[in-house]
Amino acid sequence: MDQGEIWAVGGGKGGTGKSFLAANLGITLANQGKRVLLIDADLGCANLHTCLGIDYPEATLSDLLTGRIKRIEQAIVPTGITRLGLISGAQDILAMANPKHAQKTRLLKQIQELDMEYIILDLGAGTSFNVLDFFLIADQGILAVLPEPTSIENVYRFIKSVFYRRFRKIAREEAVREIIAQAMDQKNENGIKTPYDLIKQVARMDGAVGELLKNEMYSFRPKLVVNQVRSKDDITLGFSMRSSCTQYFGITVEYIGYVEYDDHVWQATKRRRPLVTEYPMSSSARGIKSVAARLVTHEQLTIDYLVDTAPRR
Amino acid sequence: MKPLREQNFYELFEIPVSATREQIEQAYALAKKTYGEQSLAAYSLFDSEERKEIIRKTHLAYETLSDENRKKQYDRDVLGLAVPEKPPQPAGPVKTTPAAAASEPPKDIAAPVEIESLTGTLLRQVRERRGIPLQEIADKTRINITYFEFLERNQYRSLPPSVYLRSYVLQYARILGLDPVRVADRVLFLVEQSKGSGKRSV
Repeated sequence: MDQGEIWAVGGGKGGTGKSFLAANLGITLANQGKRVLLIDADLGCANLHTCLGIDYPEATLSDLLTGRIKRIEQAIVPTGITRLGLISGAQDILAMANPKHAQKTRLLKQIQELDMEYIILDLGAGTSFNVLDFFLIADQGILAVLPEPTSIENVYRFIKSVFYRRFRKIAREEAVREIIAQAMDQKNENGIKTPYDLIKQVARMDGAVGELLKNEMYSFRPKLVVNQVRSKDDITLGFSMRSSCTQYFGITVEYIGYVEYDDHVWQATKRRRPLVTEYPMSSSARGIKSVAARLVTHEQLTIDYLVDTAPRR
Repeated sequence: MKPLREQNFYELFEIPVSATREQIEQAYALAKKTYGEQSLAAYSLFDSEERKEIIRKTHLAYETLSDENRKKQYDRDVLGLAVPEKPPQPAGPVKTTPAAAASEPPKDIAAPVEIESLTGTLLRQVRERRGIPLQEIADKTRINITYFEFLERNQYRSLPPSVYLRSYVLQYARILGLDPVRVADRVLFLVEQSKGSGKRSV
């Protein structure tokens, strides 16, 4: 592998386990012998280091972005886990919460040149351009969702924002961009409710751009992880969300696994220790390992899985 | 992926044509759960009417795919898959077909009517009695309005090949609230008849 594969963990809402997932996926891969770099891209609210049980490091991403540090290697701090490095995010400098596009591009270029097999970005909450851009750049975009209405709504909002952002980057013409911007508003006057409507409308204005958007829609395949699962219904939710996204957005969401709700997570978090290190045999840790395995092999759960977990009838 | 109205039953269920009975059952169970009243996954994307519409289509998909004969027929007529076949068998009363007797309010059109009496003219009458403009059906289904005009004028020879036609009629009948499969069977039969016996269009 010449360049490291970039994973980005997002999902809209805060508290859905993005940092938890990123940290534990990173450790899992490192334990399997991979060279891994974790990057806290939650600019302004960084706490990935806490998930790893280390203090806020001297050097951070913001030093890199401001130029106080020249080389990216200088920003990588050890995590106490072999083969796993960390670049911490900016915690307090509010101005840094929104780096310029050129800065981000330069940063990503440097990241890709590092001798790493996997680079895991822990994104912030919300749908700022920053977060969306990192998600779009990643080879695998991972969405962490909790089985509760607010979290699900936010994940959908996130998906919509991500690919409308992508659409707007493809469409150069002002009129087309305007339509795309309007489509974000659910009550827009063009009656555009779904991405299908949008693409249809755009295709009418510019056939070639319509085609581009359609291709974009096909190639966008975010991965879904349901966190804090407590019942079989919660597990099924991943499949239901996948189906809903297909029907509504016309995109394929891959359901790559779930993490059970587990007191071990709470205990580990309280002690500032990573779950997979502290309780490697817990059900939640096993869930994370399955998710990591599916990400590496590019597999997803199939619905037969439900039958295997608990026989029906 | 295609919008719901353009999806065939396999696409809707996200299963291959070769799916086992078990897979069909699973897909149906999941769809009911996903788009049902209590669903967490769908309510913020689809309003209650849209979910009902999806459930309806799901139900129809299940009824068709779980019945060996209807599945075969569906595979042949809608997907255009070659199956060792016999000519379409129109049979049985159509439960929801309205009477041509034009005086009753639309509520009473549930009276069973022999499928043998169903023609394009009758379909037009049903549609008009329900106050659904043909243009609306064309818009909803995104199917060329002229096909529906041919159908309602009993110009069966002008209709497209049965591979497409079956799907068109299914959608048309569904909007009218008729049993789509029965109506489609009947229309295909009328088309066959109009071409003279023995000749099949596939």
